[in-house]
Amino acid sequence: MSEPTRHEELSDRYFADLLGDEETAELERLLTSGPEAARAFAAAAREERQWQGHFRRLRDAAVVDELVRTATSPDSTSADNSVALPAAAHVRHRPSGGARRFAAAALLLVTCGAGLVWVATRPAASRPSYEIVSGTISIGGVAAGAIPDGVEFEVTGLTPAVIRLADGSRAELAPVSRAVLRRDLDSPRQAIVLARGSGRFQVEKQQREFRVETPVGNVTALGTEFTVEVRPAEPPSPRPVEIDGPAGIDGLAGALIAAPTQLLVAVLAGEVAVAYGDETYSLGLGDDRVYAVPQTMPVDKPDVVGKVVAVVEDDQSAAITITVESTKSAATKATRQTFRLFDDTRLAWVNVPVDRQRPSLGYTAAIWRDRAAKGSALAVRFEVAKNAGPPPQITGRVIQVSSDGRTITLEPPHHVKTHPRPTRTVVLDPATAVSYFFVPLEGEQPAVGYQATVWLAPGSNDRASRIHLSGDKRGDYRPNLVGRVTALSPDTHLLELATKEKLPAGKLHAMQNRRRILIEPDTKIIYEGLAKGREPVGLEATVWLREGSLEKAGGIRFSVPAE
Amino acid sequence: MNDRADFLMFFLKHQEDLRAFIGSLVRDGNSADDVLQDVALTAWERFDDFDRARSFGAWARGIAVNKIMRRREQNARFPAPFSPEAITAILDAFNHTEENAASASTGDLEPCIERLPEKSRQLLALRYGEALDVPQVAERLSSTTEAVYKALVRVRRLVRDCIESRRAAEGRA
Repeated sequence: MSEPTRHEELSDRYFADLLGDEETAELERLLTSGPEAARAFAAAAREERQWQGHFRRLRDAAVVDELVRTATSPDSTSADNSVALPAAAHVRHRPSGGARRFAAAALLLVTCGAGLVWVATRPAASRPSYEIVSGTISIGGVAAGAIPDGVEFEVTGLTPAVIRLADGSRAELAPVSRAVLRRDLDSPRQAIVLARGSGRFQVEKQQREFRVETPVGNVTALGTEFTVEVRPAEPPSPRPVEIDGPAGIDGLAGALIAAPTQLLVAVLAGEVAVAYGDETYSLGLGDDRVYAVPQTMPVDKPDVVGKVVAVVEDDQSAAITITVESTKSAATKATRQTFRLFDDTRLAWVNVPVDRQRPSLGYTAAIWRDRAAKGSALAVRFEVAKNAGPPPQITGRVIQVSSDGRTITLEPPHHVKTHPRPTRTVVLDPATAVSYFFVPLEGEQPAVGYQATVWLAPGSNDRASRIHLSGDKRGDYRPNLVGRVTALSPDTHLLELATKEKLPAGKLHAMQNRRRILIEPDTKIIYEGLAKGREPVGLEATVWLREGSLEKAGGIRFSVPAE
Repeated sequence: MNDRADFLMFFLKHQEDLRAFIGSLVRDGNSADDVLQDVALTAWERFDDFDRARSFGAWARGIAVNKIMRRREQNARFPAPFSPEAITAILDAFNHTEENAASASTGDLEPCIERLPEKSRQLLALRYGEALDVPQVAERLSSTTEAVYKALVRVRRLVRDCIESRRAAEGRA
């Protein structure tokens, strides 16, 4: 074995990500000084890729971990309960011996027979297998004639694979999709774990529960038809899936996806429930939604936490510079530090409304420095304090409103037990900022029954500087949709909305959705602060749907978008 | 064979080598995947321009270089550390040694890994199976970065020698 040359050594260190700036410069000089170093570098790059590819295939076969796990279980050495396996041309028998030995050997077994040993550890008789109606399926790189339960497989042909499930439901998976079919022994639940790609699912009505599990969220259906696609967060445009035809260009796109971060769900019939984060969303006929994984933030403590006191956007470099002011303790002086944020800076938002998720003055920013680029942020978590600003002075239910609507009488919350219950009178003048929540379409005026939260004007004990009036959160007053109008049909009967729905705090992305709204002759339309009949495209629309309808509007309020 | 199937055949054949090339220039897995995806789309869109008498790999690598250069121009922090001159040298090297990619087979790796001691296999599994970087492997093994790096180099060299001797024995060298 000969000693490595300097360029070989530097190449090795480069691929181990251990080169400093000086060594990188030295490697550059060697690469450009003659073909020998560059060719050695290319050889090292190919070898690196070969290692990655080899172990990725092992990992993808979802076997390594399972092998290590089962190797420690008491029955792990029993290989007699294998289920029948498809075309397993390269099956090898495990050596007997201790668990450690098995775990080590198992790493080598899986290349050809991915999934084989994994299946062998399960009871054979009670596990279903699934029929491949059409298309080509491979398990561990070996063409399969059927799909055993719990084994990862890949659609390897150029056309979609149609799979019939035990209850008659069908799954049509696009080329290069990778999935596992799983049916729990003690429940009728059928699960498809879709790691990559897309599928269309027709679920039999008697199926008690049918679930598609993805890295982003789970989709549960009952007697319905829907499609699910897992794809990266920011696909380049145009997307290959938009190409028509039978050959597998969409499959090719799947092959290139390394980190699926978006889940697309479209409901073709019936209803589905999408579990995403801590929330569950119901989608009905015609709905299609995108769910996105929030960017992961560093797990260690942030380097700097402070209030944003300046934001400068630089269009040329596409960078945003923020200045944060922080104090270590009440006794120390505040310090200001400036950080640049680029398009690859990881951002998270806590308690910040979706439409305000951009670096802004007053937000609290927790910043992780980018060690490789001075003055740049690797990640920033922006937060708006839950109780920002002074607390309100008065809260209560509106029990009386003067005829001019300027004076309201409030009774205190029920937990105030004094007798008689003290009421408060509050005056609203033109300067009072009034906000309404959960009120009917034309209910944006003080009314008996509303809950009021009042901030008094400085020096006054009855004049409100700010008031929040809220209707019944559980009532029918709450609008069903809020979004920007993107199109209006020539006959003005059909409106298209781009809606955004708020997600739980900390979720970076909004669900984005296109919704079609029907305007009927008796749909109530209000132009808030706008000329009646104004062209609605570009305006914000708040829509109250008719009961039982996903499209027909009972009322629409048009307003100028906040931005 | 229609254009699409034709393209697919070319692309799948060269995909791994293209990954190796892009991965050697872009030192972040996600960014490298983005570039690869971008290259695939451009190659598909311009497939009519591809001269079938030429190497598809060289053509796609040319597209990749343009994509990488452009991303570097747009974002100074794009993780491509080499200068345009060095990138060109690496491109030339890949183009002149394309036959090496064709002869490389991961099938050769397996029997050679099998011969390694368990500790060496564990090291490889952590580095490539779990995709840990060298310092993370060192932490996992309660060792130092340098020690792990040297051990990895040694193990890989052992496997390389093993592959070469197998090929020589089978007359494939």
